[in-house]
Amino acid sequence: MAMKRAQELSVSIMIPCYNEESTIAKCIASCLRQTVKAKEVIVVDDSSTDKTAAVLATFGNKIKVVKTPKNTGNKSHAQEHGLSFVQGDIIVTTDGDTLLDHKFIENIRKSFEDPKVYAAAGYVRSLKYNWLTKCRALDYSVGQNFHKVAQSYLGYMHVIPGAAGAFRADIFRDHLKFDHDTITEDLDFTYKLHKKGFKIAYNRDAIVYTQDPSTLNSYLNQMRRWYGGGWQNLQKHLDIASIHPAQALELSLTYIEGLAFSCLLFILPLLNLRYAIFALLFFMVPATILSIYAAIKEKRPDLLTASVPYVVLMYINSYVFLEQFVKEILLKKKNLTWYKPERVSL
Amino acid sequence: MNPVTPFIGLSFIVHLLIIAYSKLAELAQKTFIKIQTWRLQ
Repeated sequence: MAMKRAQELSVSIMIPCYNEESTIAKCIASCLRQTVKAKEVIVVDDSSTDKTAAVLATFGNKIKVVKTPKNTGNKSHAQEHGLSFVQGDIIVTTDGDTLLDHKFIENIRKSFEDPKVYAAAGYVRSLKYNWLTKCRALDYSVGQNFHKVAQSYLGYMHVIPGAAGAFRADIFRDHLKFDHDTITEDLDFTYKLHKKGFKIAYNRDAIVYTQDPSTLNSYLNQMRRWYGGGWQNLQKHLDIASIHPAQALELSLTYIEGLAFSCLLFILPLLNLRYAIFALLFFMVPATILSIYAAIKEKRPDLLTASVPYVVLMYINSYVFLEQFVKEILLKKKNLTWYKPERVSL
Repeated sequence: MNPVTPFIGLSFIVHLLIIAYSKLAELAQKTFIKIQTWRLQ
């Protein structure tokens, strides 16, 4: 059968959700307000206990609501449940706390003009809220405009974000399966795609706006999930390093450098306090330059003041990175518990 | 989504160099195409 051209591909949006009463309505509204209409918007309600079901009912037949028989407690279980209802050629995955830019489908679909592209990663922007989300916005800007751009040149996209991913539907049916054995399903899928040699595109014009943790506690929980999931996936897919040199390079840069850097940050003050202060000042220089870059790139002047808390958060991130390394790699205490961040209205 | 790495270290420098190299390669390719087109005219 001849492959469809990009503009002929129909798109299904899938939103797994659990207790998202405060955010889900705006998320769905953004999915329905697209310049290129989705064939269907599927909301997988993981047996919410709040008013999510009532909010979903207000959309009537504009959306398809699928409910899991009981709470699965895990996003990938909900996604797997929803997959059997997908009818489109492309599946767009997003989260209940995320808003899609009105041109998201139009832009992400363009990535599939290349018939070799089987999945695409969009661009995530953090919604403005407080100093923590400001740091995250800076982190996203640096990660997506430097690291990910370089990765796309190398042909090795490290991760397709769960909030802004698109996949040809048939690869899920024919090649990918949900293992539910890691806590970051987006990283698991990306590594699987690399192993099977599927091309992943990066599209910075396909933008989503997401709600990031606004309290230190929820920030720590999210970082624990991300880094814990990172270590879990590294153990599970270590063989991808042997497939392509670029993959080996990226894994080394992420995990080995991460480990060395984290250790260094905590060893320096023990050796000599002056070294630690020097390191702190040293990191302030690139952090300030990058915050100026991000303020211009994201058109957010408030990011100009993100450099100081950003450097402080580097220490927190390093601590969590080491903590999860010890837990997941050394102690083999695998954590598969999904955590639910607190939400504020979008 | 997972951040690539929270650190401004070696990975940042390596990625910056990769971008610079790729941009330069693209520029060189475009220049060669222009020269070829000009020669054919």
